[in-house]
Amino acid sequence: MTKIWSRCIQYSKYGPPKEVLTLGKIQVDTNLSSNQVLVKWLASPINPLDINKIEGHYPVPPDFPIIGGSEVIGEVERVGSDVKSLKPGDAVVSLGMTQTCWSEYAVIDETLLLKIDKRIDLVSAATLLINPPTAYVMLKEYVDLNPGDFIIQNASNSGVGRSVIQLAKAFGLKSINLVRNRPNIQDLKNELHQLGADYVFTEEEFRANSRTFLKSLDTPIRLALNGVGGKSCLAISNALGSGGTLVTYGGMGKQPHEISTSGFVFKNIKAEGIAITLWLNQESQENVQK
Amino acid sequence: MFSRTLLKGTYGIRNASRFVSTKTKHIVYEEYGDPPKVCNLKEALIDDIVKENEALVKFVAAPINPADINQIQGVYPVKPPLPGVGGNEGCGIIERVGKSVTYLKPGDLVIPSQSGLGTWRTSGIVEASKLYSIDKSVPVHFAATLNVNPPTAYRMLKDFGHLKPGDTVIQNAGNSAVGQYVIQIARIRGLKTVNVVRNRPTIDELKNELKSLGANEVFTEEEFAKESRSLKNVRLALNAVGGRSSLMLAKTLDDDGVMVTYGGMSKQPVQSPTGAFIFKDISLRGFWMSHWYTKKENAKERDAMFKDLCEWINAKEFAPPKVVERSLEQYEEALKMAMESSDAKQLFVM
Repeated sequence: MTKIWSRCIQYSKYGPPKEVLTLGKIQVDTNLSSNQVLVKWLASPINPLDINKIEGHYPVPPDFPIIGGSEVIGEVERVGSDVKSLKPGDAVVSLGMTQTCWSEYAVIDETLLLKIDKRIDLVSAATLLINPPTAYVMLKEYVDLNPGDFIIQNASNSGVGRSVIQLAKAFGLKSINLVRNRPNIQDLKNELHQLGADYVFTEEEFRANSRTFLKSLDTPIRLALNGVGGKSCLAISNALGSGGTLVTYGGMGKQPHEISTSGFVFKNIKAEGIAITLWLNQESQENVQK
Repeated sequence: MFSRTLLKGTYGIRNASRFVSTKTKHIVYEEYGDPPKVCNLKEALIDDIVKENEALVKFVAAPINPADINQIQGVYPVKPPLPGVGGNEGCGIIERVGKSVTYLKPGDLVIPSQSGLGTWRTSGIVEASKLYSIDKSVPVHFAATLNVNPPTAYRMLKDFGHLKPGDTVIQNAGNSAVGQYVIQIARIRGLKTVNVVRNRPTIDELKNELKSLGANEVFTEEEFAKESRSLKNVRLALNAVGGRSSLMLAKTLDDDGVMVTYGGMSKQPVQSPTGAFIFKDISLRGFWMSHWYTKKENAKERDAMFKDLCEWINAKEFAPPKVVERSLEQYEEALKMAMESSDAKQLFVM
């Protein structure tokens, strides 16, 4: 029975990350059952959702101590006797939040690993599973959009926001992107335009000019993507045309999401949410692979 | 005071001709503004002869609803041309029909089939397609208030949340007209209701009253803030208030639950918590009865709905509507009262 030491970042109670996270060591049992894989993790990001989990905002039963992180990329070290789809040296990412992300080694079920192309660089691969799929699903699964259609979003500079900009461009959609004001705002606007953003406004600019701006568009906006809440949510949902859909994926502003009553009653707006991990778990493997 | 004005056009009031004419009284506004100020009671003459597709209706009773006030103020999306006759709901009796009208006959009890009809008047000639005939035995107070509130309650309980007997519906504005119909229709259909109301000095009386209609639980907004955590199996929330109240409703929803917004009494935006969206996968929707009526594909459902509602009325399943009867001459006071309080409906009886 071989065990190896693996360093990890874990927490044993909820609270501010800086206070409750500790660097520790756990023992990983490398005696693999037939369908398990020993992986060496290489990189794992800190997403806003990781902070929220550590602070205790997620409805996950507290099975302390918990190793932080939600997505990770690694390399296969060894495989169990029945493992057919992976071999040592393969690059893999972990599906389904295995709760081992911020650690060096883990033993994972074959079905929870997705083999990826080794040519993808480390940083892209490590941030492949939460933000890009959220953007993809929001753009594809809620409204039947056609090339030339407009979408509007806030939190445009976030991981999800940037994925939305790039995917929207790839799908032929026109994106209207709201960001918080900051010094050197022009630099940020240029950067997002480079990624493919069609319009970039600060929240203040949009609220001051939305009426004129919206009148200038040739089709009504049918999809709004909200990661902030509060008045920002109100602004983008008010921009929707009749029958439009608002999809909420986060609440960075830490405030309830606001949507106008008349939007619901007279414009028949729909407001939905998305939790990418639930979607990944519920959808068929086929859809997820796609 | 009254004036003998001959108006042409939309409301079917034409020049008196060699045919016999009837006098009609109507409450009309020529500009948008504060209803008691911009409305006037006027008289006119109308022909008794109707065109092929029209009908002559003698209006019997018509209430003042919040939407009517908003329309006169100029802030409602449905804006009939000016000058306009107030009132979008009510009931009347058919006096005469045009040659090609097959689905209505003299003596029929009718309600508007769409908004914008102008019901605060004694008679009018309207396109027959704008009228809908209902069971003659429905009492006047019910018939006059049948078009907006009971159907809103009926449709929200039917079209959202896939409700089954035993499911729980939660709502704010439990004391409103729609709210009370939600309580009663839910009771008839075996659904449970949890009702949130604004606190008031007579709160105990109100709670008893709503419970006697069939409400399972009645909480003030303050009480609800404490009790809401223990609620389970809430599939549908009905919101007519917005702001903090809607936030609290949304928090109680189960997985896949729906909150339907049909009004905004607090004048504040609807609020929803992030967690409900991303952990419970709730949806927020809106409902507008007037819009539902305009869709041709709803015709069969509409017939089924009014059949149910009229049967329930005749079987005394509903408490009689609380109304204050008014003559058209009392329009100024009726409008003022309608804007100040909502305990009883101001009802013009012609």
